[in-house]
Amino acid sequence: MNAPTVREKTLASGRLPAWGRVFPAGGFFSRRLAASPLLALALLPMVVLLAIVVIFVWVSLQTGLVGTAEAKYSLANYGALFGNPFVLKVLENTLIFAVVMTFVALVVGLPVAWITERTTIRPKELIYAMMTTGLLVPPVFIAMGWTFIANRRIGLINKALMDLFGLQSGPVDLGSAAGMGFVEGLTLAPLAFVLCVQVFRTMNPALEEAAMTSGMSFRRTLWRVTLPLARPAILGALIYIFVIGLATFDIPAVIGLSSNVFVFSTYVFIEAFPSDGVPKYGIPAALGTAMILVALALTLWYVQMLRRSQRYQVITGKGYRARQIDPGKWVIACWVYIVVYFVIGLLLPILLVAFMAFMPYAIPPSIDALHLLTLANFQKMNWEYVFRGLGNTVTLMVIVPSVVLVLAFCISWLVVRSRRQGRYLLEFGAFLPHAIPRVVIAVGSLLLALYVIRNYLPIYGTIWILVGVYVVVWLPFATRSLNSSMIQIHRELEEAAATSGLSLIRTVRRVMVPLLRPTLLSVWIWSSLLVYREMTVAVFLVSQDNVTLPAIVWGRWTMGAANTAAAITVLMMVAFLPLLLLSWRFARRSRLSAEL
Amino acid sequence: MFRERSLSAAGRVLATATAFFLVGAFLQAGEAAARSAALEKVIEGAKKEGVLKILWTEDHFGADTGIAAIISAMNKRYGTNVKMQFTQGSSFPANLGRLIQEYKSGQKSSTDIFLGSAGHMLAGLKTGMLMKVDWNALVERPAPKNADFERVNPEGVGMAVASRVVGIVYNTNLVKGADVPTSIEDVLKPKWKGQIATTPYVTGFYQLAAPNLLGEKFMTDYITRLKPQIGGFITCNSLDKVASGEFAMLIFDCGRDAALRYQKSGAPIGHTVPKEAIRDNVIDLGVPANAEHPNAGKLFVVFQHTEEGQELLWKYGAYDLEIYPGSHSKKLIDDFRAKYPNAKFDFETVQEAQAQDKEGVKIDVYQKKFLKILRGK
Repeated sequence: MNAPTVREKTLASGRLPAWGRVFPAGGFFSRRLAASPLLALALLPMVVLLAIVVIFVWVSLQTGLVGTAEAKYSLANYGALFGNPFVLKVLENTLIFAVVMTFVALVVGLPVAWITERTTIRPKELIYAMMTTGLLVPPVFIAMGWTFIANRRIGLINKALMDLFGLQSGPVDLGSAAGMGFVEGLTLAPLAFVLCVQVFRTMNPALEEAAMTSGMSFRRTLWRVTLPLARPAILGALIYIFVIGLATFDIPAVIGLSSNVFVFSTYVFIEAFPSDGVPKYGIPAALGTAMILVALALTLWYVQMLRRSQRYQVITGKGYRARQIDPGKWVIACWVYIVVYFVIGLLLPILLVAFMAFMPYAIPPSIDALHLLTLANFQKMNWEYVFRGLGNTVTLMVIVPSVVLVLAFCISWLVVRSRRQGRYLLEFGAFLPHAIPRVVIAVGSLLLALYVIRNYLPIYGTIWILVGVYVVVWLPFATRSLNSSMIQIHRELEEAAATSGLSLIRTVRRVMVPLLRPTLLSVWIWSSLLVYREMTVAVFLVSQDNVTLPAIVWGRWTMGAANTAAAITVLMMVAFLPLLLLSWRFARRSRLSAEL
Repeated sequence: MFRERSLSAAGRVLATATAFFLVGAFLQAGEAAARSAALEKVIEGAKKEGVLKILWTEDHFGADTGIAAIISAMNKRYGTNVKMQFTQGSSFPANLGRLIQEYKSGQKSSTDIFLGSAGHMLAGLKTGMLMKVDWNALVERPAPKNADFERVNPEGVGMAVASRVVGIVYNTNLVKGADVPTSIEDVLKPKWKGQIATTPYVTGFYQLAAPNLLGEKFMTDYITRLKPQIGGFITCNSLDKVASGEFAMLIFDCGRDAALRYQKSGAPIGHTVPKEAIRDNVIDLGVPANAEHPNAGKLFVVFQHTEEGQELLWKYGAYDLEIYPGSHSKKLIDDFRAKYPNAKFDFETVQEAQAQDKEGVKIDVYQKKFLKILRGK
């Protein structure tokens, strides 16, 4: 018979304080826990998300301007999904875009992850820095740069091919669904890298070693052992990225709108900000509802894959190192692969944006154009506007990660410390915002603020609507990171604190926070940087008083002031570089990348 | 001696300065006296409000730079201290949709002034989004006699502030000499296939489909032939995509002003008016009924009708109001009418849009039809 734990002994003595009994072995949804403020906080973002989804479904059942007498209940919007060729084309484009994007992201991210974790290549820190920088650069900047790289008429690549082969028009079409998917894939390759790094780091090497000992070649071992072992995790990463692709806005907006190529997110955008008449949310809402169901199904599959992939992991302790392969002369090829990606996926687009920032008007990059270099875009900048955007962006970068951390802490504690099945429901609820397309969350919250809560909570056009939506959007990221870290802290530490008479707040402050500090800091910084680069939600919800820097860049870009947009972009990158450097430091320390 | 002379000179300077001051004060007092009580009330209201929120379309009025200069001159003229809060908005129609939505949901407007063309102002009138104001009681400058059109919109939903001739914008490096279009047929040449842009709201086409211009049948046929030439959709002001060579031409623009503003930066941009029809696209300013700073908004509109306001509009916006004597736009229109005497001619005003609406000319139906052909939507 096992010796009683501290908790069992204390429970028997009846000295455990009230909060210490919050997690009885049998009673996740016990009355005591239901009354817990932790649960109330944990459920809050889920209630908000549910309200947003309900609004979206409600709108999908109406025609006419919602919230007014003109609105009529009807199923016509769902009928239009199948009968409207434009909507069918949007669906086709979305599918092509998401498939190409996922493929490109994995083709880049997966090999680099393998090279980093399973070979002796050095310095690994440099590869991490090169890859994670990409994750933190706003995709809108990359899209702007790529219009100068691969535009059919003025792109560097097409111009070179046209000159070389005497072609009339450029063969590379960036303005297609596949072209946009390619660029988006490049921007999401760092995410694929981060998701796959964990797989290769924790994968059990015993089978690989056995295969090699049995005389299997490296290539056969890779195909017959390594990849099959990693398959569930890779499939999980694939689904995770594909779900993002179903609702990505930035790149399809910058590249696709002028090419008349629409995906789901840009279709919702043109209906919310139409060129003819008042906003029409009905059909986009019906499409969004269908997308939610698809994304939910994919997310359930993803969670299943994630669990399956954990079977093949080994628990790593101090001194553990999976066997690494010496790439020999192939190390050069490995570096070429990484550097080529870094240059075309990140450096070149950023350089082209910087070039634009110092040009008086939009001009394709060339040596001849250098004589036009000017500071005019910075000199004529409306600094009040930029500083207003900066102020809002910084405010969001401080408030959102802080609130996210508090809520994620509550959720993680309940999920990790409870033993009841109900915790999976809470865990799934916390992950739901990833499944719901961000554009749906943005429009849903806009309608919620405009028509439902306007008299009780007047947040339309304020920064608080952005705070609310951003918190919901980044909750899955923070919760997953905290879950992984919290699971490593033995519950007896908390029980000991409770036995010693520490209050809940003091236990959190004196026991949990010090132990979780690296993860908390890292999650805070990363959430902050994700807020800094966010554009999708901002574009839909932006107004006079809550305008953010990415929304200003977007506004200038779409209104024909590409050079001013580029100038603001350059300022943004310079201003937030220190935060990026800080994120590298903490990401490595807390191994956050392994917990995404 | 020297001292006496110096004093004398100083005295003369003082006397002259006093005289100037008195004359200035007299003139200013006279000008203030010329202002109506209604205007004085608006000025007082604007002083209290202190802010003018602007959700703006493209770079009209020279965007934030131009508007800041205009507000500065307005403050000087009326003794106000109104501060500009500028936010980049979207196109006329997209901004209109947003403002109507805000109005109908009982929210405060995102802007204190709305800038739009005839159709947008009419939509503002129909939905009640735009405030009805007795502008003639506020404007200092009398309405010109025998003007081509009425400057105050029906029921006082805003005022016309400028007019601009609509045409085709082209990249001067790509479209040269005989290639510069003089007719709308010229853009249909095979060499331009896929190199022509139009706007996502197909501006120009549906207006030309009106019975008094080229007619629906002609324009439907034309657009069907134009479709293969279209390589993309850009807003009226996204001329950076023409300047960069991404598109060789934009048919139609919303007015010549955008091209002129781009040319100032040295961009290779040209503008041409096709011989079939000369459209003078009048743009208007109105104050949303749910504006947060309505007096500042009204004062901004009123200021555009002063001589100084019109000069600044020309300087920063590259347009002014054709009905005022000596305006740049008047001269331009006269030049075009002389060049193309057989061209159909039209002033696009809210009054005309309202009349068409009453006569059953469904401009919005044309727009939807042409959108369907060109965008498939």
